[in-house]
Amino acid sequence: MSLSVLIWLARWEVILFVGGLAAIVGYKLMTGQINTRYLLYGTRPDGTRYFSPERVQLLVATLAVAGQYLLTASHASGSLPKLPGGTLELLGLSNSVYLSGKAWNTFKKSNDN
Amino acid sequence: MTVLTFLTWAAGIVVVVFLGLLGLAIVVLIAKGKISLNKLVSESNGDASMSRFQFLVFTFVIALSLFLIIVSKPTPEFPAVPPDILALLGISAGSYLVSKGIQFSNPAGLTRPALVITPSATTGTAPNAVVNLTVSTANAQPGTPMPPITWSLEAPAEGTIATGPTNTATYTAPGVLPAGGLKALVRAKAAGFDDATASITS
Repeated sequence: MSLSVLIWLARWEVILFVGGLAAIVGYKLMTGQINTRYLLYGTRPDGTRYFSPERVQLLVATLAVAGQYLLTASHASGSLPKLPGGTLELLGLSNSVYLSGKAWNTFKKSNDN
Repeated sequence: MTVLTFLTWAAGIVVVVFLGLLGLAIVVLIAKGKISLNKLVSESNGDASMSRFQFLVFTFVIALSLFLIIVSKPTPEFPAVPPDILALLGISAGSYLVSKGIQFSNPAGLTRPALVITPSATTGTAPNAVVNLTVSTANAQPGTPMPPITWSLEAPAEGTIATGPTNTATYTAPGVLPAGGLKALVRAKAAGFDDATASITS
């Protein structure tokens, strides 16, 4: 048995492990076995929930960046592809909007009390 | 074959077999529910967290991309990671940390919802006796609907558990009680809630 066989085995191990893990997590997310209740809702200090548009935009931005990068990486070779210009700014802005909204709904109500 | 070549080959075999078995065990245990992932993206109050979800998505994307790049090379080697990828993960992790800070300044964001079984303890159970169990929620925020409940018996499963309508179940003791007496533990589980248990003894 040569080292090339070991490399071939290691390659398939990683394919099955990472692929299997991703498939299981994806399946559990889709079937509700991983809790996703109120993913797009925030919680006020009084315990009530509110629909949160800032979470929706963050979800869209996350899935868009992730999907685009995965697509680029699948056609790349040699090294990890760089992110397209403006992606980091977009993601940073999206996260800022989400955190600002969360902070606003948390501290605004606290100050009112 | 030289001694060094043999050692390289033997070490490679050991590493490949060990990591393969470890990976297989992890995937199988997760698939069978022995390693629970049901709170993978949950906050401490039971609600799902957008920050955790984002972190999960980017972790998988970068891991899969890294793997695709490594296997695309004729001789596998670890590729250079561009700084903007580190920045991407940094933004995601930083957002998660700030989110935690905001959440911990909100008392309503910290209470963990839990299931409660009534009665929580039943003693003096006779053979074939039937115990009706009801589950309710505690610490849940207003408007939280009753989640789907999964009932189970902890090992050694003495007796049977039958799921009833909505939030009830019926435990039936075995026809012949174990020599040391009946010691059954019923568990109720639901995504986003702490488990509840009820003990049933003879």
